[in-house]
Amino acid sequence: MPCDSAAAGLVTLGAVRRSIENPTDNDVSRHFQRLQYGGDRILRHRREGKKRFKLSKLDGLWGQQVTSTNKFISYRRSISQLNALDWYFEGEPFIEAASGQRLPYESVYKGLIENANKIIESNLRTTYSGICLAGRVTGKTRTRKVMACPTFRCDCNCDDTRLDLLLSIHGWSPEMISRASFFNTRTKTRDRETAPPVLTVADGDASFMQVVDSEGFGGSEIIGVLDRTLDRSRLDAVREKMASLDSWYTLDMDSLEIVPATPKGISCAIWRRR
Amino acid sequence: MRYLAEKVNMSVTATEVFDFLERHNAFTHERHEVSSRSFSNLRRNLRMIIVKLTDAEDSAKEISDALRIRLSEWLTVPVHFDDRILEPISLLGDPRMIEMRWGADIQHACDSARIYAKELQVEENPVRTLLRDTIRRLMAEKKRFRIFCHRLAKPHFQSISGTHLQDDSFIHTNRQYRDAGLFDVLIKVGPFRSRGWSAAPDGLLTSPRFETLVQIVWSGCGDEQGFGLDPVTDNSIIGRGDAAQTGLPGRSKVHRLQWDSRVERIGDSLDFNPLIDEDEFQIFQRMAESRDKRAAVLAQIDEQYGLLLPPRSQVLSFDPEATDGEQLAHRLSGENLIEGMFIILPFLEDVDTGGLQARDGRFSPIWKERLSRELEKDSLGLCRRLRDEGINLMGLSNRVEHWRKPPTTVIPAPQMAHHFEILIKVLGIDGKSRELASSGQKHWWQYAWNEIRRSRGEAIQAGQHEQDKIDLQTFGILKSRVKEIQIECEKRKSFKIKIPPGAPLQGNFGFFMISAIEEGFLAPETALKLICELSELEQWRV
Repeated sequence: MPCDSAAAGLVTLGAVRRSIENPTDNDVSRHFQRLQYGGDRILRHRREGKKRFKLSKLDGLWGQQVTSTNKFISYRRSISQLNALDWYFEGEPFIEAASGQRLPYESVYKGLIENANKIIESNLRTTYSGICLAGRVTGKTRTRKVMACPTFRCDCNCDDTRLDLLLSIHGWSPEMISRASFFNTRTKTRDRETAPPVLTVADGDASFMQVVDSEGFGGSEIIGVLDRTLDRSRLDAVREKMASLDSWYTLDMDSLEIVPATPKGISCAIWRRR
Repeated sequence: MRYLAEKVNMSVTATEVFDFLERHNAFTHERHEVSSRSFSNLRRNLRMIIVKLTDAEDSAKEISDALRIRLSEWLTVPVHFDDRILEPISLLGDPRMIEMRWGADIQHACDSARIYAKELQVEENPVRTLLRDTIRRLMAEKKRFRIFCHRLAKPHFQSISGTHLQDDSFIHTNRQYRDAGLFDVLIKVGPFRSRGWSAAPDGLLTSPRFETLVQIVWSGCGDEQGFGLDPVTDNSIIGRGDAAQTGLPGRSKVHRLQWDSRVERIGDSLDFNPLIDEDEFQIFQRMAESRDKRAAVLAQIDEQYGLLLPPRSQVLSFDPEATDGEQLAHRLSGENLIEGMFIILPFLEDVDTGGLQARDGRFSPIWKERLSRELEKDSLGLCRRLRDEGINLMGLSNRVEHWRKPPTTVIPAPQMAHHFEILIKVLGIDGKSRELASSGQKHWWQYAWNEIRRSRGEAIQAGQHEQDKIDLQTFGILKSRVKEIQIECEKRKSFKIKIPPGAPLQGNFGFFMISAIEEGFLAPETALKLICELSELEQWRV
């Protein structure tokens, strides 16, 4: 990129939009399995406010019952395939929105990509962790500040919508479901403990290099969005990183052919595993 | 659906940058190569002296460094060619003694340099003349222009008569360039280099925010190969591959930025042997690389002071803009430690003296007061005595004047302990005061020296283990005072917080807002992580 920008957010938004039209792009099917491997993590129920529960073992298996952590009254609840979506891990988004709730801005998502496929209604009510925005190395707040700047205006006279809200990163919008996970490059933590994402968009050089090196992103497609007005040492570090990947990756000229012509100032290269 | 332009903390939006690039089929690069027979000869002789003295004894190396800094400045800054041009040559000492001390070839080079330096003073520096003409032309054409230069070079540009350059005409850092908006012409004196003297961001060529680039260089000064780097395609504007394109076609999808280059040679030595003008920056770079130094980045903490940090070292810092719980953290220099954040330095009282503790501000008033008195009485005599005792520093009288100044961010004082010991001895306050003598530990100057070291942020404690322990304790103490620190950060650019009694450490924590980060330094280990005057740090710029 020829300048600092919110481009990583825009790329992520494109991926989020595509995921909404894909019926399998949600965390629903894997959720019960996650509960079973959840260890002793804290759970919450989507209709029971701030009450906290601890997963406990039943017949040697996790994920089938929870115990209230209230120090005055202790009680147990059972979890099954039928009610698993009511439960979510503390600090993470709901897996499915509570009744009557859904992701807003549908008209914006609809108008975003010309001739795109139809939005799957149920996806507007479920969380998806397959897309990850790896934020700037300066932290989540500064990343959000950048993502809050671009706005979208649709033709239906509604208010302008900010990019950070459209990304539905958990904690950036009041909605309790999220269609993109967030990796905090500064603290090296992802906002949910799910399987590695399918696609990761790294905002900036440091973020890109951290994601490339991290085992937590093994198997993920990675898009690095870099500003070419960086200081020289950082440009050199990126160049050296790309050179070091040569043993395992090769330039993918076929995929490059499909990429439309880039605007002036942008260069784009694609590598694939050998 | 409409995408509305974003404004991300800067005066120009990404959309405006793309629109600007799209509007231009080609960008213009006007390179003016200036030559002067006298200056070429002066350069040649100084180069010889610098190279010969660089491997000699300490005082010779110091002279070599001073000459190198001065010559680098002449090649990248529009200086006046006045009497001051002879100053570096006078560093070699009494002209009659040069041959005896440094050898016949240095004597000869020195004599020649004096002759050419005098010749140069007859006329104005042609770089200044060319700059004046260029700036006046741009002003007459009502063009929006900016000058990219080091911040210390700005006064030299502003001293060019008839140009009336305001501060907002200058860009000194990559960050300022990114925020500068769009304009018509960028002026740059000196070659394109990625680091050190004449350093500039690669983005000037790979992401121009202007239509025309006017570059003024002395003959022989070549642009660095690989400048204008595109890390994705591993190609550059200068050197490797096609010289006028960004990116290697075929390897990547690139929309090329076209640069139309024009070279104009001006000066009185066009028929002169061009080989006489070698590229000093390449020579100096090779010299620097052969020394036992490591790369460093400069964190400037106010107008006058800064400290060098090893690249990618963990620096305890405070980011007032971070979310709660994330403000206080170790950040990597050259990566996520950026302008606007505060560097935290512990100014701790001695933990290893076992005797009387030296509190800050206790010793410096005593020796500074004595120094002032001596200077007012007989400054020449004082300097002579200091030299006789072994302080062989250049410009000693200026330095002594600086040492007498009251403490600000640091306590102005000699850089070396040995020199400080001599100073105290000459001032006649050496020996143990009654109070210190009773503790039976150290000499007076040693306590005073520790006070100076602390003011520079130097850890008194020895050993990495102790340092790590202090680091942990520092973090623990500061974590409980984040709100207080946040309030101070909003009010001031630098401040100190006293460590509460009962804590495992005693002293203060200094908070210094980073005003600029700059790469391109090679410094010995002992010069790192100490607050120093910016002019002092110039010696490590490559």
